[in-house]
Amino acid sequence: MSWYIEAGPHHDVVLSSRIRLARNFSGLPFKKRADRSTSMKVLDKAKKLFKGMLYIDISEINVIERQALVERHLISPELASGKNNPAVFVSKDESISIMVNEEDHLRIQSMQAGLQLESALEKAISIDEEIAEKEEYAFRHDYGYLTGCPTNLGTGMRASVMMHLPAMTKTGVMERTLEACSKLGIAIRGLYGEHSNASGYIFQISNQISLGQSEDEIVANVKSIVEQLIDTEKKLRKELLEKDRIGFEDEVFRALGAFSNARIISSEECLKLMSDIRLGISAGLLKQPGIEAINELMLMTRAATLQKSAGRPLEARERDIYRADIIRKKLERG
Amino acid sequence: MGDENMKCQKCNIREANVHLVKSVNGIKKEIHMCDKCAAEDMEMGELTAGLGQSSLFGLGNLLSGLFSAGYSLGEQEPISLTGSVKCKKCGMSLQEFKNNGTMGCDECYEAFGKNIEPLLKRLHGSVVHKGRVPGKIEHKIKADREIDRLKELLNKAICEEAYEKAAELRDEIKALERAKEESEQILKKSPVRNSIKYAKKKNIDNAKANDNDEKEMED
Repeated sequence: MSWYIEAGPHHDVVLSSRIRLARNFSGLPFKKRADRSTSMKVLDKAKKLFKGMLYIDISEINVIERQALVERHLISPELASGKNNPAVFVSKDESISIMVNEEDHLRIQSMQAGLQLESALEKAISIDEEIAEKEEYAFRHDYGYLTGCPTNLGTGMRASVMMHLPAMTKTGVMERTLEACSKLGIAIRGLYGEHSNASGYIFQISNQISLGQSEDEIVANVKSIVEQLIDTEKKLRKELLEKDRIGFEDEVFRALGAFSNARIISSEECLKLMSDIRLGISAGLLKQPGIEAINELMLMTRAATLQKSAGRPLEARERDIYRADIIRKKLERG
Repeated sequence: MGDENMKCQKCNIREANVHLVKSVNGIKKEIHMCDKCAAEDMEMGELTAGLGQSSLFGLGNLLSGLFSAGYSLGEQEPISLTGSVKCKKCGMSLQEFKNNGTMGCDECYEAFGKNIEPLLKRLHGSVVHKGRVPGKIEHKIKADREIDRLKELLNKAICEEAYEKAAELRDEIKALERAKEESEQILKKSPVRNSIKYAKKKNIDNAKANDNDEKEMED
């Protein structure tokens, strides 16, 4: 099962974990000074290194395909609009994707369902070590792995966790949390919009500092913050449920009603409905749909992925109709 | 997940790549705008007025803002404050880095690494890497770190006027640096590496490689 469908550890609050390593080859200019011949050389190296993986030449695919890869978390929007030999290598289960010629020569991404930072780190490291045996990285003993942007120096690592935090947001606890976290070098960003309904209450928690700490220390820091957020969110959900059980249930079942029966659903509404349904599942109110079905729908309902499955570009209203269609079909199938 | 960009809060069309976190009376507010809207926005304009950079408002300006803020805290002036410091390899100047926020190549860190250390302190709180090291060069990194450590002790000894100790440390450092130089030379001339390359080129086996070398020199 793909990692983005799987229900991982703490799946009622944590959707997924990701480790990203930024790397450059020694002796070749970085993105800012790289011309076509440089990016070609980088791509050639990558082709030799990642022979067994699925290779996607970004410049050969259209805008919808590129956006679908972004929605699938395989590439960044930056790579999707890249000009000089942008490419990505993907493992069979999609848990590993290696971007080539993005902000740095290589961006190794390792993803796992739920809270599994250590396991994601292990996989990323093993790939990194394999590469280091065959190629020379740009590296200094004092600044660590050299990256185009100094914000990524040192370990070149970003450890991030995607979380569903509706209770914390609705009760206003989120604002205070943002401040506290930033003091600890942790960033919290709304993933699909601002801290509002529109975001589906999905947030990304990640480290801001990559130099001066070891990879294990960074992961331990992020994990400890995430665990506290999990506790707080769960506590607040329980309080919301106990304070007004019938109101809570009403929201959940109304959401399920609209989700399963509406003919037209915008992406914004879809995020809100899925958020309420997730809450319902986590509170034990819903047996169907299961968490894996919702995870799958999270991806299937996104704009480009939708159009890909429809086999043609769709206007906004067509998309909203098709979205409702896809949802009903999936819920019927189970 | 992934570094998915949000849309600009103002125009809601372009990606937001300018992010500002305002803390007013303990209440934090995040502002996300694209380059264009940020440049046009009154508030953003005020914030950037003091930076005296080019009109393009981007990460580079934010970074260089941190840069200058670092100096105003009374930190040591860098070796060269002007943009005239250039990277020997790719030609990027310090000024260009300040405008864009990104380095041109690995050599740039050699050229103006010291200049940006206050910036690194602001970003990461540290200028020393504590994480993993690429396997092949692990021994070299250990040597570099040991040399740095001894140099610090040397400075301390000089300050304390412990000249005998200082002399000892200086000799230790010299020995380490020499050993490092030698092992690098050996690796460069590595018989295994070179002859494989050579043999592939000339399509002969390792044993003959050296003979051919001498023959060509005679010509």
